[in-house]
Amino acid sequence: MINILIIDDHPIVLEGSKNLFNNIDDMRADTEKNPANIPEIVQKTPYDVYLIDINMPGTNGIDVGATICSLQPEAKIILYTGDQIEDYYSLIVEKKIHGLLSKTVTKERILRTIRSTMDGDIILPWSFVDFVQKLDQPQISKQPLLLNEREKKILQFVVQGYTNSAIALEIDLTPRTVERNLSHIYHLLNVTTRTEAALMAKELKLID
Amino acid sequence: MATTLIPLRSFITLLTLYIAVGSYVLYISYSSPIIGIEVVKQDDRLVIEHFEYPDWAELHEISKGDILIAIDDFSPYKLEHVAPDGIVRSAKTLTVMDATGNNKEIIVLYHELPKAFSHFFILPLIYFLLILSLAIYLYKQKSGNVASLNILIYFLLTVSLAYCSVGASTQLHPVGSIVNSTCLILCLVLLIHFLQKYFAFLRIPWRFNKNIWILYLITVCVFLVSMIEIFNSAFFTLNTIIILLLFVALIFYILIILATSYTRDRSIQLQILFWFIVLPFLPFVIFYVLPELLFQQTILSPSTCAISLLCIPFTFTFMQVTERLFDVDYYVSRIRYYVLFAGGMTVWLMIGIDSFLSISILTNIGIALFIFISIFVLLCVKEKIDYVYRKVLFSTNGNNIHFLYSIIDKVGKEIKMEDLFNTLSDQLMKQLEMNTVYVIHYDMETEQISLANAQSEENRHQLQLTPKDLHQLQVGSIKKFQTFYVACLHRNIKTKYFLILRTNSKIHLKKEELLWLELLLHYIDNFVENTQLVEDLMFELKQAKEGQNYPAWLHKLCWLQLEEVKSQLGQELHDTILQEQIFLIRELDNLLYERDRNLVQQRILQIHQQLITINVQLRLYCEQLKPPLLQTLGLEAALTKLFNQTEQRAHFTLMHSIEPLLIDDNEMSLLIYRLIQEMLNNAITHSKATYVKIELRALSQGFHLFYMDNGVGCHLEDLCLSGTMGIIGMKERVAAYKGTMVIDSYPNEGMQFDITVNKGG
Repeated sequence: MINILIIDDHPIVLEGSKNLFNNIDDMRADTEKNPANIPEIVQKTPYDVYLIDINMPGTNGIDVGATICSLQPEAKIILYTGDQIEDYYSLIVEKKIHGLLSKTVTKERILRTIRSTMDGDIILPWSFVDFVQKLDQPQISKQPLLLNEREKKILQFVVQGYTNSAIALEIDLTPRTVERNLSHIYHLLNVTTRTEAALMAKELKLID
Repeated sequence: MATTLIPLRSFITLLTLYIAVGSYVLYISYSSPIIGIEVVKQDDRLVIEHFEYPDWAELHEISKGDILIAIDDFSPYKLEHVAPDGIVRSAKTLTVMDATGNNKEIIVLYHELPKAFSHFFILPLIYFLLILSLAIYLYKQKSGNVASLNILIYFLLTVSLAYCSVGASTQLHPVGSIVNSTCLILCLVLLIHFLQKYFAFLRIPWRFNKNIWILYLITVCVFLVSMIEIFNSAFFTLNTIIILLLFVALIFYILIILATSYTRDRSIQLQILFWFIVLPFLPFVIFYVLPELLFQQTILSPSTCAISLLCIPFTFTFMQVTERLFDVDYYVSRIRYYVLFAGGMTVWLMIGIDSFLSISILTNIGIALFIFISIFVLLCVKEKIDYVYRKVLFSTNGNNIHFLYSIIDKVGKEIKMEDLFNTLSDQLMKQLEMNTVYVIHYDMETEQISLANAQSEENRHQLQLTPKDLHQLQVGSIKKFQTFYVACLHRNIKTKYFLILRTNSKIHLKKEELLWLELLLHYIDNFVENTQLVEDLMFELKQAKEGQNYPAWLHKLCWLQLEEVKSQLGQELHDTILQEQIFLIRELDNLLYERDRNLVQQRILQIHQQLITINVQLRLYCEQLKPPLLQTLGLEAALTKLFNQTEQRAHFTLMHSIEPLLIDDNEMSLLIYRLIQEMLNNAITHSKATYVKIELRALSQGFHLFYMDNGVGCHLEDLCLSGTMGIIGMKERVAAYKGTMVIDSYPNEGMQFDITVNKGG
């Protein structure tokens, strides 16, 4: 028998969630809507699995989970949220929780997740693998860096060794405008000179 | 250095001496009129060769070639020593023998010699009296720098004596000669001494002879030599040359002092001093001294030349009384302006008069002089009347306006009463050259006086102010007390604020300064009133902050804002989610009557899907209202989510680098989140950029946020500041945290934001 405590401040969610376990033989669920009572409950009657809502007034599910773990280290904490669960993958990596469940998933998925958690497994969407992969290669933009037409032209002239005034004449702008555009490009590419900008632009294939 | 004025006793003794000597030499001048007859000795007879005053000779029918028999009843033989250079200078009676051999006794009367009379008696007498009153005035007024004032008084008296004794000296009267020679040299020595003191006052270094006593020693020598001359007339010519040489040498010394000082320190005082000395001396040097030394002949008589010298004491008095640069500048510019105006007008009128009337040159000059003086006086009178009745003042350099402007500018920035009074006091001290300026607070009920700005302990002078004085003074009025001025700054029901202005020396504010101060007081009155309102408001807010008791108007404002936001939100929810739910309710209602089980299941699946969509939509609303993750996982996680969401929606490349904040501050995290959210919203909806770069750097007590894109940009004046882009909201948020936000954008050149918020600085 798996004893489950559902912690949520919304009575309607509590009732709906509790009903999920009505006809399940190996599971029994209780509810608690006041997070402040949790330490007392955990000490008096510890549960096997805690399904905790994240957004609660005055506190949040992560902190409540941490409190429970400190009182009952073997407890299984599953965050049960209406938010996108992808946002909380980091908590799994940091071993702060044992599972994540969206409030909109099916009954079957909820039961499966609880059982797996009790067995020491994790059930998560495939997107978790993307998240873990990205941890090793941060800051990779999904889209390649692109310059606008004017910036491209200016950089091409820079590569050819034109001065600002010459570039301004070529593309019918004031030298001041060219200067400002170039300084934007320097800032974008984190460089300080024309040569560096030209080299970097070629390296990043920003110009042909 | 003498820093105190001559004691009254010494001053009276000095004046008595002056009056005694002056009266005596004038008496000599009067008792024996100057006639100036040149004679030559022919066969033991004195033959008249030249008359200084031919009109007088004609009147008495004597002519050149007549023989002088006796002077003042003395035979000429015994009088030879009186005229060693062959000039009979003065006489009471003359006995002359004409060509026919008739003896004629002539009583010399001054009224028959008007020119000599005015030169040797009337003008010196007037000058004597003028200087006497001027010395008394200066002594009583004590204006300007005391050290140079003493010397100036000596100088004035000496010059006057030198001038008064010209008549007696011309007669070769021993006392006259001694007084004249000694005073002539002494006045220049005093002038040098005066310059030394005046330089010290102007803080110009004195690079010349520091031992003035040597010059005084020379004066004593001159006095002794003059004494010797009485007993031995042979010294006469030598003596005259020595004194004249000394005189010229001293004049050159003075000019060198002024010229070299002026090349080092180009102050207007030195420039004026130079011309004040040079101009009056020019006629004396050019027409008398140089010809006498070079050709032993004079072009003009010394008495005529000396007239221009008489201006010197007055110009020096002018310098002394109006000692400050501003004043000199002001007076000179005004006089120049009036002279030009009166001169121009005189020329124009004279052209008119000459073309209608044919009059002699002399009358012409007389009329011109009359017109010139009349116009000049008229302008001065007009200025006085303008000041008294219309509060208008002549001013060419606008100094007062400028200072008024700068004081108001500085005072206007203060938001605390004490700061306001401190700034005002500092500024007035500088502008009016006061030693102490401060503000007192007067409680009209208890009649207590207290300092309103605690500048320093020095300010606690004992003010002899009675409650009556203070009650009577109205806002904007200024009253002079013995050693200080009191001006009423501001009053309310219970209290009055007064400005106290005090100098260590004798205080005297000029009318233009008073008018200026009055105007300033009126401005300050308004400032004080407004500052008091601000202070009250600040106090109310402070109290509210401490006691959590916000003022009613703030409550109202917050509620109104809240209601507006609620109403917007209500409308949006009503238009979207509510409508979709109504649709779902109808669908479910229809399903109740649906018999086909397969269809029911299919419809339920659709409704489930629709509900999930609605749920997502609603979630987005919630996230807009309350940024997700900010409270649970923190700013970085919240921003990462925001960036991910933006990348999904946007067509640009988003580059970002976020440093974790150094301080744990939920409010600041929310501020950053909202700013970035707004920037990205703008970028998505308006920018058409191909890239956006966001950098967040942590500061010790805040952050620095930089944003740039290469989108369409805009003219800062129009689009950016219109309500559509939420830039005003961003600015307000940053301003609320005392941060700075710099926006940089030009059309088609993208946009940049540079935001810095740092609580510590």
